[in-house]
Amino acid sequence: MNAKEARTVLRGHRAGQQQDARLQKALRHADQDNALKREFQQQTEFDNRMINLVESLPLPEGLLDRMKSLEAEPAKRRLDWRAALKQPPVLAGLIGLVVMVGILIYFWMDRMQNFPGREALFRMISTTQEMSGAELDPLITEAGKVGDWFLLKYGFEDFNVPPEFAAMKTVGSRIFKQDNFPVAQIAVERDRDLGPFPESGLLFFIFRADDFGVKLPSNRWYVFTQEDWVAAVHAEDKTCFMVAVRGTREQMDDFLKQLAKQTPAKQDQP
Amino acid sequence: MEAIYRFALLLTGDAQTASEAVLDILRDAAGHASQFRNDKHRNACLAMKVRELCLKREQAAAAPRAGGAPGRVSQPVGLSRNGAPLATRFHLMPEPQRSALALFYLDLFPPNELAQLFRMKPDGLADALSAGRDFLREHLQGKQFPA
Repeated sequence: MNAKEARTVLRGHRAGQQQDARLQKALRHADQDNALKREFQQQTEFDNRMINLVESLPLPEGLLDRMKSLEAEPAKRRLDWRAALKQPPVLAGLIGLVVMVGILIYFWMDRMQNFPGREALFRMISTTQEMSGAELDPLITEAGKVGDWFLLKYGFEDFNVPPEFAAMKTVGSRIFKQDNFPVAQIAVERDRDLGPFPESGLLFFIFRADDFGVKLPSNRWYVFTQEDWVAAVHAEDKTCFMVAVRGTREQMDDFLKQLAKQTPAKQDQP
Repeated sequence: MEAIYRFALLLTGDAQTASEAVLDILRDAAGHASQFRNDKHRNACLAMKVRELCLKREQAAAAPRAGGAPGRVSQPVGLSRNGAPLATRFHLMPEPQRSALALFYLDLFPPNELAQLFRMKPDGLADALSAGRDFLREHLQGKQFPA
């Protein structure tokens, strides 16, 4: 140990501290170095004086009692959320909860899209993707009147368009068979008033639910997507009505909300 | 427990500020007694909490007066209001010398732990302690006063 190292060790020494091998070496070094010895003695005297002064700093009256009472106090402090969130068990619990909520949302969304007979509806939309447009017979009328037309021409009862779609203009229709069961298909005129779908051609499908094993609770729209198509299907008694268009689920949700708002006003009209 | 208050007093230079800081920390630590291994560990944890709080409050108080400029203000907050003469002079010392020397004199940590606490090498701590002593010598020169 050289003088510099010895000085460093001695400067970090507190009077009364246990003497380890390093300190003993430094002290032995100081014994042979008068300047270092004097410096260390002065430091020790100064430190002792300071320690005495520090240890005799008075406490304000009553503070010690307050400190003791606080320390004896049971845990009734406010919950520190920030600190609590950093605790591993809480963090693990929260992550677990988030995962569980995610799974529940996934199942809920899956359930919202799934219903018996959905495959048949997919095939109806697939058929549409292969159409050129020439397959449709011209039918220029209001969608609300096509039910009568289907009844008169084909004898199909209850092939009606729901009231919220009744005012839309049709441009063509046809009856095609899928699995030997009839499906009515109606093309709707492109219209700027069609909310999120002003440039896309809406297609309606009307069919009997039992023919395709479709089971849906009444008065509810089921929205599902297939490739770049989105469809909403609704059951009324034994008949199903489906609207399909190129677009997204969000667009269809907006569209249905918009129609639901408009319908009561239209129904009130004579 | 007295050592915690004395540490706060040396850091703040003011009895009232020190008392408030210590009580706040104890209030915050209430109900956590089981987390401390022993009295020494408890005192060490509380001391570091007190230091954190005191320096935070000191910075908050100094910032508006110093216009956000870094460095210590020449006249510390609460100086000579309620503080003991030693504490008011101790408070003038820059950091980390002030905290290191205060903890060193109060024997709350052994020097090796103190060095770790301030992320210093042993010679760095020795320099800090030495600088702190020189500062105190300069400010206490010729003054005979009780604590």
